[in-house]
Amino acid sequence: MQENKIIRTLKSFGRTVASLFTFGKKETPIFNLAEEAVLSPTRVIIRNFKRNKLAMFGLIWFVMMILVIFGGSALFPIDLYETEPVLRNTRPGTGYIKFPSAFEKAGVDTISSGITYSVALGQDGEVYAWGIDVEGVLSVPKEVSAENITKITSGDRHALALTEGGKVYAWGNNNFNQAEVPFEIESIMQLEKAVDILAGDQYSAILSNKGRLYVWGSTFATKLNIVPAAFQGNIAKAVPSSFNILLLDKDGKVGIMGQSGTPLETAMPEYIKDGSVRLSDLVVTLRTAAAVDENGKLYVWGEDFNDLLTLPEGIQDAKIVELASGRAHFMALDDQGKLYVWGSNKFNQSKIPSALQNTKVSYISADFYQSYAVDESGKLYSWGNNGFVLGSDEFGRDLAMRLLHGGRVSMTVGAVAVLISTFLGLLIGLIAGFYGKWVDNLLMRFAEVISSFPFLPLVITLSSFLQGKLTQTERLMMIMVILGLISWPGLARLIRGQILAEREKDFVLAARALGIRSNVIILRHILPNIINIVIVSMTLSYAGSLLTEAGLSFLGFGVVPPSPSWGNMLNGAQQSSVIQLYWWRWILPALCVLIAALSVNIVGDGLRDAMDPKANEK
Amino acid sequence: MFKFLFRRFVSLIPVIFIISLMLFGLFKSMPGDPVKLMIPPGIKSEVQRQALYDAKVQQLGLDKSLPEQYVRWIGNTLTGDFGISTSFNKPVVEVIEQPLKNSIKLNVFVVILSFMISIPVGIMSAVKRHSLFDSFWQVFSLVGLSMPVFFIGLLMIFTLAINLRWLPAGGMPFKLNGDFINDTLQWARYMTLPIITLTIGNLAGTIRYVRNAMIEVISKDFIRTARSKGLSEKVVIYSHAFRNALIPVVTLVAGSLVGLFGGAAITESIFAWNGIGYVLIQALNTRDYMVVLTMNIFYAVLSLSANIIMDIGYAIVDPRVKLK
Repeated sequence: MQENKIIRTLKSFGRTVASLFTFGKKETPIFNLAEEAVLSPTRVIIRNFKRNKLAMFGLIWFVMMILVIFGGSALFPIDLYETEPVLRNTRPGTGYIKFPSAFEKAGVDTISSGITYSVALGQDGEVYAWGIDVEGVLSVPKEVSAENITKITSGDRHALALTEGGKVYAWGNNNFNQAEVPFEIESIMQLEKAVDILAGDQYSAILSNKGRLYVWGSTFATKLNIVPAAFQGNIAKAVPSSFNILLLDKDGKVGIMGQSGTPLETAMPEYIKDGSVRLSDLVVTLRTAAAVDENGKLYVWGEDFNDLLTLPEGIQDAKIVELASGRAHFMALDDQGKLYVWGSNKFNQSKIPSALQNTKVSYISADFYQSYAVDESGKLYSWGNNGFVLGSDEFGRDLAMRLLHGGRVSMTVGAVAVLISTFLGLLIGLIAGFYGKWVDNLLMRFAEVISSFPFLPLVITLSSFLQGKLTQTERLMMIMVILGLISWPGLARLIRGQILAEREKDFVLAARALGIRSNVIILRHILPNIINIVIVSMTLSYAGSLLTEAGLSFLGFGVVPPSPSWGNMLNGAQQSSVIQLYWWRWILPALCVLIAALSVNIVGDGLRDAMDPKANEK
Repeated sequence: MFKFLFRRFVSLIPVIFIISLMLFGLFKSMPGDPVKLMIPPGIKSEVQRQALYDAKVQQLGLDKSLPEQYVRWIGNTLTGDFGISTSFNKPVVEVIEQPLKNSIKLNVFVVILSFMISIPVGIMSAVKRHSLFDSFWQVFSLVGLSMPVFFIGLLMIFTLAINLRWLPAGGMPFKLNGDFINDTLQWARYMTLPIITLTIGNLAGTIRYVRNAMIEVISKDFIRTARSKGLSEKVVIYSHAFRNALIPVVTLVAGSLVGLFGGAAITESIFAWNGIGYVLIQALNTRDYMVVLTMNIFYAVLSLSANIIMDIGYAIVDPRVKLK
């Protein structure tokens, strides 16, 4: 018994001693009442932080943002210099190519697409429209529905319909009066009869039965209203492009009108021009044309852009019967019902759906970045640009992609800037606080100099000097360095103050008495005691750094285009027209900044509360 | 007190000296030749251009050595000659004068408003900690701290100016005719949105600051003593806690008095308010470096004096602090 008691006492003593050395790692505490005291400070902080629901939410939110932004931008690379001006400022929304099933049931007669929508004529004579509305183009006028429509066509933001009796209706964007048949043309149409209608980028045209073409709308810059005298009165077919109209006359000659000197004109082969090949169909993309002659042979000319002049395999041997063209892609159909698509594939508009690869196709239509095809059973397929979930910016770039990549830039700039400033602040604060005397005085004077400049004006001044021959990456790095170089004094002062307090404590005295070198004392003994403060300060200044970058880029002095950043995406919002009309272009990036900074601030607050000794009092 | 002030001012001299050296070096190392920009583009003759160039260089003293240039510049600056703005062809002082007045006009209201709101709100939230009132303002200041200032401004323009058309989206009043009521109304119309934006931007930080200061005081032992003495809560809060919490707040107010003269670059450029921050942006865009240089010096001196004013404010409200 006696022995047992001694052993027990010894064991208990041993446990106590052991627990002293395994401080914080012990699973079962010896002093049940003092359970919390056994936890190491770091564990207490982590536990406190975990108990704070808001802080945990902020942390999870922040980690998710990081994952989405960095994962997403790695998965979907972006071409900084690619623009689609015609798709500019489209509102958020998808469904450009989501046609109503009623239309498919009625049977396809014609489909013609604008930038964000399509209008179509069913075999039942009804007019259908789908996609995202721009300026009322989807609300087909009642008169049109009442009339017997034979032809329908769409420009970029407006549409035209032709009735059996030769009456022309137009609706949609009317900035250049392109959606109103002018009085003088209407009166000419009393004598001639409209047989075809054309619609291009903000212009409209009528082809009469006398072979005359009448163009109205935005024609001033492109001179599209001047029809060549050699062709006027003899025109069989006219094909609209953005800046040109191709004309095919009744003798088979091909002419061009509108802006002169475009590749469409300069690269046009002689045998096409003089009519030595009899063309049956003619289509045109932005700067490239394709034509097919009566034997089904294909001709293409124009600018070699987006691989438009690189024909798909087997097309030269096939007998082409039908052609269609979008803004940057061609579609062709041969007499076997085989479909060919080539050109730009940015919106997957040149990717034939697998279901269509082995069936016969009976009808094709392409416009802008959309493609439609009907197979022999009457089933309608659509592919290509289905819209921008978050809209597009002033250059027609997908805002969602810009937000993703802009987020990567903004968050990286902020993080690196904070790392630089934390490193400097820590270093300078440590040295000043520990060595004191003249070193302290000098460093703190220096900190005073730096912090005596107001932050934003100094950053703006410094970054405006960067407009030299810097590449995008160099500039980004310079912004980070500038932000880092001038935001350290606050942290340095904080650290210095902490060190001054820590330096006087007994453990430092003990370390000194043991003869430990001062740099070891700083790094191994003092630094761990203040690292918590550094982490909180880093978190909170990261939020501040995000805001600074945004403000700087907003003013045009931070990250400059084409590199996206949340701040410079907002740059356009300095015009009130953008604020008013294109809300998604400024609300979304600003919301991203807000959410990111908010989550970081919540985490920072949570950390600070978790480290507050008063939080452990309960 | 005066001894302290004297010492503080003396200690400023090396700081200002270093700042001026740094700024001078910065502007000398800038890319581009400002003199080339001063020669009228109409002169085609190369000889004539060169002659004009040399004359300008001589006039500006750019042919001298760098130390000589520095001494000349600092001498001019100290005597109040800040040089000539290249884009306005006027002395810098004249260019800055009106915008400075405009900025002050705006900031007076912002400072008054933000303290009128933040001091009572901060104290109330600290006293009624974890109440609904406190939670609301806590959320407000958390969101406010994370909100880019321009977002507040843009939302203001979007709602109040563009959609509701109550107020102009930006600019300066121009229909002034000397009639007091009319002029006041005009100014109010144009100043309301920038004032609201800046105030909201300020509030988030100041409410937090006041609340933390008050909580700090309330948790002190003497408050517990006061309560245990049986004093009513009103007396404890207003006569014991409030006075002590005011100490850090007063320094904040003292600091913001100097902030009156500083411009808010982002807000002013959103609202096209011809203030000092807006002028800085314009000057940077037009590469009007004399204006930028002067303004940076001005800002630096401002914030240095803010530190001194804060020290004095501290000494005034806290009898324990002795300025030596």
